[in-house]
This record gives sequence, C-alpha cells and structure tokens, in this order.
Amino acid sequence: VVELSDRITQLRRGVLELCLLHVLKRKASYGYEIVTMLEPLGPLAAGANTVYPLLRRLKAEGLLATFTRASPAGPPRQYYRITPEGRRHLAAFEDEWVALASVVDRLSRQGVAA
Amino acid sequence: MTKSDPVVEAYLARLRAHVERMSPAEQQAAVDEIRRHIADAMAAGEPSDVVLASLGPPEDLGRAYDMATVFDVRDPPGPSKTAERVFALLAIVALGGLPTFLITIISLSIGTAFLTTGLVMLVAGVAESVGPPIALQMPRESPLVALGVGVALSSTGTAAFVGLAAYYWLIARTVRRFVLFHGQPS
Repeated sequence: VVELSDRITQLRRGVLELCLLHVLKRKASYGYEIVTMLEPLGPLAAGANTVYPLLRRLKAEGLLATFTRASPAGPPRQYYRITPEGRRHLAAFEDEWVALASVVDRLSRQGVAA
Repeated sequence: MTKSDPVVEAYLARLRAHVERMSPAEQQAAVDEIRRHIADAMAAGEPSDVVLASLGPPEDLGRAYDMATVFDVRDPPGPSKTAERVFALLAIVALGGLPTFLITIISLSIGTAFLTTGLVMLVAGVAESVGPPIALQMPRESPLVALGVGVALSSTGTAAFVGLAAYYWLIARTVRRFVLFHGQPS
C-alpha cells in the first residue's frame, strides 16, 4: 500500500510522455504554454517541475526538437516540435496504450460478471 | 525582465547549482527556460511566490533534470570545463612524457635490432641446413643453433614492437577518456 503512490507516479510518467507528444503533434509550443495546457488535465498531475525535465529528455532522445522564436516581450522563447521519430514513437505508444487499456477493461468487466 | 527580482534570481542560482549532470550549455538552456517560464507566468498575473511554489524546491527540480539526463544516449553526463581538460592534458604530458620518450626509444631499438638479427639468423640457419656453411655464423655450430637463436631474437624483437603498440594504445585510451570525452563532446 505504501508503494501505491510510487506506482501511480511511474504510470503517470509514461502517460504524460504520451500526452506531451500528443499536444506537440498538433502544433509546436513553448514551456509555459505546454504547462498551462496540461495543467487542467487533473489526473495527469503534470506540474512544471515534471514537464520541463521530461521535455529535455524527449529532446535528448530525438523525439522532440527545439527552435527559438522571438516573443513580443522578453528574450526569445524556446519552442518544441515533434520530430518524425517522435511521431512514430507516439503512434506505437498509442497502439500499445489502446491494447493495454482494453485488456484492463475486459478483465475488470469479467470481474464484475463473476 | 525578472532580473530585478532577487527571489527569482536566488531560485535560479540554486537551480543552476543543483543541475550537475548536464553540459554547461544545456545547464544554461535549462536555467534560461525556467527563467522564461517564471516571466511568462508572472506576465499572466501569477505572483512570483506562487510560480516558484509550483516549480517546487530548486534542488528537486535540479534532481529531476539530472534524472532525465540518466536516460541520455547522446549527451553523456560529466563536467566538461575547458580548463579541466587542459590540466588533464598537461598532467598526462608531464607524467607520461619522459616514460613515453624512453619506452619509445628503447622498444624501437630493441625491436629493430633483435628482429633484424633474428631474421638474418633464421635465413642463415635455413640456408646452412640445406647448403654449404655461411661465414655469417661465427662459431661453427650446427645450423639448428642459428635457427634457435634466430627464433629467440626475432620473438624478442616482435615482443618489443607489440609492447610499444600496447603502450601507445593505453596512452591513447587515457587521453580519450580523461581529456577529449571527459564531458559532452558538443
């Protein structure tokens, strides 16, 4: 029971990666915008302190790329965009997610029936 | 922008101090990005203390960045300060210079002399065992002696060359590990 929160954290981390790639598949975006887009998605519990390191890791893995764009005020912003490799990763990840979710769903239904 | 806010600057300084595994350039990029995040959030009307609270302690954020670095394939962790590399190179030159000089000269001399003599003895031994005696072989022993000595000498000579090559390989590996790729070879 003690480890439950740890496990949920692990699970969330993987799902957050999926969500992040999803968000960036639609359009390139920068840190603050990404964080505020994910914030309302309660169950994800994705704060800035999780999102930024994850962005960096996905960039290091080649799933995301960055470019800078001038902003109306302040220094230029770093934008993230999904790479072709990131798209492939997202598609594979999503297939896996759907398959796994359906298994969990089926098993829990059987549990109810029994 | 947020340069004026000492609390924000203190936060960023602590963050920088706790991001240890990234290259200096990436460390800078991370700190700049968090600085930009704070500025964006404050521009959207959030007070700085709320923004900093949402980021959590800088130590934790730094650790999270470091954890993300663990998964890096393209960016091996480690310090990559130029001064450190220069000192490492100087240390290697200072410690390894004289030994390398001596080992090179001695190994090359032994290798060349022994291998050449050994091969000549071998040829002489073979020639003598099939033909008439050759003046080259000073004591008039059986051709087998010339063959045996030839094998021994040329083995020693070859061993000297192999030893020298191994030594150079070791030096090259040391330089590569401690000087060239100590940090991120960006």
